[in-house]
Amino acid sequence: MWWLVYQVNRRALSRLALASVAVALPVAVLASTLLFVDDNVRVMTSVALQPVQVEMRALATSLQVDMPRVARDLSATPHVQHVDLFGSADVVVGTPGASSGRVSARLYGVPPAYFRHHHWVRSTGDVSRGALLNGAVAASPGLGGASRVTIELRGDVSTRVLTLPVAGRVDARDATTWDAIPAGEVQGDIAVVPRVIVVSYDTFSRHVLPQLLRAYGPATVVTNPGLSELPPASIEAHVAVDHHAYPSDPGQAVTWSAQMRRVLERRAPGDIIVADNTAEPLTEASVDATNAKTLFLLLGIPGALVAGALGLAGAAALAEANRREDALLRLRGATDAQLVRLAVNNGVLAGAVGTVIGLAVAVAGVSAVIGHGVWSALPNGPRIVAIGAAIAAGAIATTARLVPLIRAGRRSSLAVERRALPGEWMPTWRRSRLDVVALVVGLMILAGNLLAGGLKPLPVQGAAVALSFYVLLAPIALWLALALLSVRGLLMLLARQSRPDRSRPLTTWRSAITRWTARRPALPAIALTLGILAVAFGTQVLTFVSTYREAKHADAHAAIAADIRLTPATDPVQPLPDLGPGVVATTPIRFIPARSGSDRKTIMAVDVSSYRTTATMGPQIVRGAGLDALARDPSAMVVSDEIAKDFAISPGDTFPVTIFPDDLDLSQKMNFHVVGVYRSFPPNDPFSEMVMSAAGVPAPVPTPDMWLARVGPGRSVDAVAAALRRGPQSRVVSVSTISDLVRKQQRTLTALNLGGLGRIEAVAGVVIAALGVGVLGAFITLERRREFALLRTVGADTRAVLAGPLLEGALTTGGSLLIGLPLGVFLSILSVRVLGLFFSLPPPVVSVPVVSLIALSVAVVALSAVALGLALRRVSRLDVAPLLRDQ
Amino acid sequence: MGSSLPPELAAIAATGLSRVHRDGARTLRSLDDVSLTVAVGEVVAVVGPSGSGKSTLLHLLAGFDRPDAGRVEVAGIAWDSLRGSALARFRRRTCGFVAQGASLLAPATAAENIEVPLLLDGVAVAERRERVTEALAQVGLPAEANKLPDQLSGGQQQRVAIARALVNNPAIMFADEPTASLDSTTAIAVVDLMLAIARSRHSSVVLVTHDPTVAEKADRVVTLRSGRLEVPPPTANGA
Repeated sequence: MWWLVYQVNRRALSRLALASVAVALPVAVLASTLLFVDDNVRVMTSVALQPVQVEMRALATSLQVDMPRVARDLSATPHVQHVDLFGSADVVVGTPGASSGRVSARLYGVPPAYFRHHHWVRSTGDVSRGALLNGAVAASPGLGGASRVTIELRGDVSTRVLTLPVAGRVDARDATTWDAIPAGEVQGDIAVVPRVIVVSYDTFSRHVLPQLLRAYGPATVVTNPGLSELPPASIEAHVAVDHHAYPSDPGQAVTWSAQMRRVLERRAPGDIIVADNTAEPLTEASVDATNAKTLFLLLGIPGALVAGALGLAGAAALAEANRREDALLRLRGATDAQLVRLAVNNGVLAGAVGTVIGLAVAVAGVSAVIGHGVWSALPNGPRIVAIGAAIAAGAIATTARLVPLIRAGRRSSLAVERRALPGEWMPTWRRSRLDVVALVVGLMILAGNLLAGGLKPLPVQGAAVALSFYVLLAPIALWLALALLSVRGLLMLLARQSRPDRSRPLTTWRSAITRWTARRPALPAIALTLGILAVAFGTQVLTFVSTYREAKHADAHAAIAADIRLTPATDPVQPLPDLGPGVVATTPIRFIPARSGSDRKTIMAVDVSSYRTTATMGPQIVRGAGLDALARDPSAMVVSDEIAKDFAISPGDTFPVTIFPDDLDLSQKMNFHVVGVYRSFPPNDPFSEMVMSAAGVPAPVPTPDMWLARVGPGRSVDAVAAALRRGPQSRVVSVSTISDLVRKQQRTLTALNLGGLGRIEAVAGVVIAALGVGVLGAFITLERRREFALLRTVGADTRAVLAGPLLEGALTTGGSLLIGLPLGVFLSILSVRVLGLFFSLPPPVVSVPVVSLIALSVAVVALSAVALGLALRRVSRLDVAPLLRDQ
Repeated sequence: MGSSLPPELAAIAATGLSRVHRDGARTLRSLDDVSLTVAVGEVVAVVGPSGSGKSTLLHLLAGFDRPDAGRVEVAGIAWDSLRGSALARFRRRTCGFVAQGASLLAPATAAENIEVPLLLDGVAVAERRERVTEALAQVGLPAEANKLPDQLSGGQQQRVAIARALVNNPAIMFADEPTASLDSTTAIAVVDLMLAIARSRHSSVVLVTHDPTVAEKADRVVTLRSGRLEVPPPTANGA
């Protein structure tokens, strides 16, 4: 049998090629989507790990634990890069011999190597030579020019622990790990520690730890999961884990990290509790990855479906050739069973070749789009999944192809073409009313979602978001339904307009062929259906991506709130230097640490008058008042809708809050008047849950955490930012713009690289639409050769003969664009509404990428013309005589 | 144009026609040095067994195929002197053709099928309607004007094909087995109709058939055997 398969295909390589392409098309679209998803997801783990300062934090369960020994044991664990000892305690810092000018501070003990291992804490001196002070300590009264400092335990002021020379400065503003409140197995809330002093761990263990033991006894509170404050003292080992050891899939990375945590704990059982600082970002990345996969697949699946349909339509062209060959083989004694086996073997061969081709095209296409080899970059798991999916798609496409191949032995599937009576063309989807069924399904999903309160932006993110993805099935169902419904409507209209019994006189040759096309619409209707589906699919993806990008940009804009953000580059904070003529307004932003009950919050304090003139994006108040009320009342506060919901507060309520909870010198309770609720109060990065007027911050008002700046009219933000980065201001402030933030944002679904997927799917849409027209041309050439010969006998020249197929091609292409473009835009509106959940601001209704859609349309027209031209090239050189013999 | 040809001009003058068909390595000589002249208004039947080259000769005479050797002139114009639109226009105005089997355009009604040559020739709408109506009446199908081909019987389809071939009043009409798919009674009726219309217009007719009853209605019968014209036996009067 395989010998026969070989002989059949050796003589008809083009038939094998066409059959393989029919399988390769859906395989290529599906595999490229999967590979693109995998490449995006693969990056998610490393992106999630990037901001993690210390992967594992081993917390001693007692101050008596021999941490150097524990650190040595932990260092021997596979995948551990290095382990740094760490100690902390609340202290009071002063100057020798001075009874006043003492300030509370947090003392940290780290080995000198710590600064080499962790660049997020910066020092200007050698910690082994003495104490490093942060800006706030150095700026404290009496400590400004001190060359030596005294360190005492807080609450035990009579005991001077030690006196040390001042060795330099430390900037620990980014050292959130140091300020993370131990909460058991995962990282807890971050306290805001204003004053920091750092000594070497050696000094800490020799001079501070014994005092701590005397003061507090051996027990610590590091394992109290309800802890809302930093413990008075802790000793720890900070474990750096090799990022390359984490599985690239974030879901697997979560599991791996949990195992790693237990492995570390077993190294010193009972002595330590290991907090996994990667658990939260990896879990978030894992949810993002799941959502991304769902999103990508739901955006990509329509492409695979329409590619499959095109493949089947193309393969149907082979049915006639196979029918003839089967007839010949029957004459030579082949049985039906043998012919079926031959068809199956042929199908398997074409399926295997098509699957390999499709997978290769997908790998090449995705690699070209992402700019690196996707296959080599992926681990084995996703590779196996991609191969498996490709084989499954190939098998389904092959099976679907085999049915007409086998049936071709009994009748020609092209017989439909010969039935020219109006309204007779009744494919399965029309008979089964698939369009109506899909419409009902789509509307039911939307109705169910609306009834469940869906399609509204919710502040809740995470797993709940994934549950909403079923709503994305609605656009797919409606995509199918509306495309088929439009074809059904068009067919009904054509049938009515071209009824033979109501024929009006023909006016021109064009009117004649138009009428005849309307009377046998099967071929153009198939091509039109494919074209509409493909164009709508491409348009939907492009429009969705454009809207997504605009929403992302709006989010970035809201995150910065102004043209430029200036963050103090040094600690202590210098006064804001002159920013030059490019900047016309600035406003200071302060983040005031606060606590409400046991919940730590951040209040953003704005200078209302300068905020109004500087911010380029104002707050979105959903209830109550905004800036006006803050300006009128220093004790006024606006809260985020999440806080309003969680604390059941609304405008008019009083909200008691403790500000500066970690600073005993400044901590105080305040009662704020809630005047409004907002969804967004830029700058949203970092997101503040409450906003107050800077006028309401009790003295001493802390120095600003950042400034917003507005660029003068007509000036380029990027140019002004570049000038600031080059100028002397760069020593004092770091400069960032919206573009920087858009580039930097890589976490969460809003940061997914949809652009690449958009390009892949748009190209697929164009190719499918054009190939649909090409298949139409191929069918016409196959089926109407005798008709063309008959036209020659009545004196039609090549132009007149080709006018019919060209008209059908033009109608198909034009109809695909006319119906597909608005349909795609409509569907993307639906998709964007669903994905409104992922944006901090409500996304725009739709952002129509006019240039991209024009390019798509031009590409569809051009490629369709090429495909039709190639298919029809034989018509102009038609050998009439043999065709006149062939009945 | 048919009736406008001067009587001294041969409607068709074919000399030394040879045609070789190739199937892979095999060659088949379908026609071998065939010469044939058809006078204005003459009806010639080409007969012969299957594979004798009848249809090949007809296609060469009608300009649908090119001979490997020899030359065909129709109404004084050699086919090989025409190309593209000029060829199509000449064929449209000079020749009518009735093909074997189903030869109508499937999506066009009977009237529209007949109208096609006129439409291609740019004849005005009113004249077209008039000539189509007349043609339908001549072939006895005035009531079937708005029917599609597959709503017509085989005989009706052939009559529509004849009406289409003659609607432009061609000088020459070619018919390739026009009665092959018809029963004998219908076949005779169709041929009678076709020849009556052609003779009424002084159109020449070249008719390929294997049916002797049809052939005997021609003015002259030529027989092809193995690609060569068979010379008729001399008659008593030496004709």
